[in-house]
Amino acid sequence: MFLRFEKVAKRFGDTPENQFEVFSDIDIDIEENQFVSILGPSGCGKSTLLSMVAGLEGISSGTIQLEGEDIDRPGPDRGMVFQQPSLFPWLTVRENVMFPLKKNMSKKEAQSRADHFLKMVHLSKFRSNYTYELSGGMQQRVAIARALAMDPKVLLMDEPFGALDEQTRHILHKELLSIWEDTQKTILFVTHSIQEAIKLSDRVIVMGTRPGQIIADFHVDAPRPRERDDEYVISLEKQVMELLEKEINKVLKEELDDEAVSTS
Amino acid sequence: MKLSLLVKRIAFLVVVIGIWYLIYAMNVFEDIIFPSPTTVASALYEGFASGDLFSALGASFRHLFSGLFLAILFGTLLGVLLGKSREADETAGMYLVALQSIPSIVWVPLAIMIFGFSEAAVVFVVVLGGTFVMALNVRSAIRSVSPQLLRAAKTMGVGGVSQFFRVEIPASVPYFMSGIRLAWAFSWRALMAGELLSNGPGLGYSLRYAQDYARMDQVIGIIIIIGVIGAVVDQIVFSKLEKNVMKRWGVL
Repeated sequence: MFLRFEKVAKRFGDTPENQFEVFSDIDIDIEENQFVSILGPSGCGKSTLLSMVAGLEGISSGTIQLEGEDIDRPGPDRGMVFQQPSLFPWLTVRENVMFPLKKNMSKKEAQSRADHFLKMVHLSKFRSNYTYELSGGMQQRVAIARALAMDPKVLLMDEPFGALDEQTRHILHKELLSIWEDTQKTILFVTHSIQEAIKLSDRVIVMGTRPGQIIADFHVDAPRPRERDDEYVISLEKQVMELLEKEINKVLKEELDDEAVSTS
Repeated sequence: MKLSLLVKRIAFLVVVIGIWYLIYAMNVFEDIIFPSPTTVASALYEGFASGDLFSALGASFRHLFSGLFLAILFGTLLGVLLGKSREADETAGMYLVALQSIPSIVWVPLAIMIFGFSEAAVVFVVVLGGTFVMALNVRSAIRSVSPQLLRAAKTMGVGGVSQFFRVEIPASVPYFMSGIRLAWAFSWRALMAGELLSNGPGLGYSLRYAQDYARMDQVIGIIIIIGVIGAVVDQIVFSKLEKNVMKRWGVL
């Protein structure tokens, strides 16, 4: 299997008393070239799980393997795009994309590679600009180009379009799909938007919370581009929505109970 | 700058000098403690024409630049250490704030006892004047590097030492600039304190010399020079530089 999660758990806190388990027993198998979304209410640990794949977050128990290799640190085989573009403001757009390449290739090579990916995200014209001159959507496209420039095996995306307006998000969805088709990357995409997950992915993994766990795994069998008013899409949305509503109510109820206890 | 603003500012200056002249003309105070604007102007002219003020300015800038250079160097090293090591900061951080709160003139007796009435004593006071404020700013600079940028760098295989040089240092530039600006301001004040009590040469020494000879026109002239230099360097050099950096770094 290409990317395999086996009995993965995440716990915070070092003593048994104050230990808090975010999730446990996460098992997922992801095939190469798949576009997989992880969907869930806030607090279910979906971003933590993604950070573990990136190697930014330790794995408390279990293993995550990429092509049979255990993941325990960041590596160039995994590129990450965050919700905040996280570009370096002191570098130009092109230099930002060259940032991960500097160690491994000559400047010329790095430049032409950066230019290639900037073209892919339609930002060739802006390669000499600084990032503060770019809109949020453009910045996020630079971040995508930067992650792709490393030629990772997996592209990890942590709510990458969460901070953008609807219009921009729509455009970037289209761009991402065409990039995915061109590059044939495996994409692991974390989001809390049901529509976004269904519109983009081959597979939608739904996580529940308290304890964090996988509660459903949908394969989306509809040709792209998918329209919002497509019957199949609507019915799938409904199913996921019902699942998530239960989870969100659970969280709300717990929070309200906590409140009741603490104020009594 | 807009023309009207410039006109307003010049007009204001003209009015102030006008009032000054008026009070002088009314003979309220003795001439020796209240010279006319023209006397001050001619004292300044004489000072520059004879070259005295130029050599004093030259000496002052020599003290300032060597002191400020060392202050920035030491302050940066100290600040990086405190910013990177929690241990060091918890142990020594609060003393830095205490040292920073000591007025520079307090160091003068100490400096004179160590270095005698020499230029080295003046430079020493300037160094102490700028180092601590620089260190405090560099410490903040290192600490305020966005963790998000560090995470992003890590996913691109840039960690450890190369992360320090490729991310933390460039990300610190805005704070670093503020640090240099403040270090300059503090050093400039320290320089004057040190020179006033020194045996020269320097602008502060010229000031005391003028006082010894009861030359109020020279005293006021030199105070004007000190004020003008402070304002010009701050407004023209540092403000512009800082603004450009802040804009580039997306802090503004």
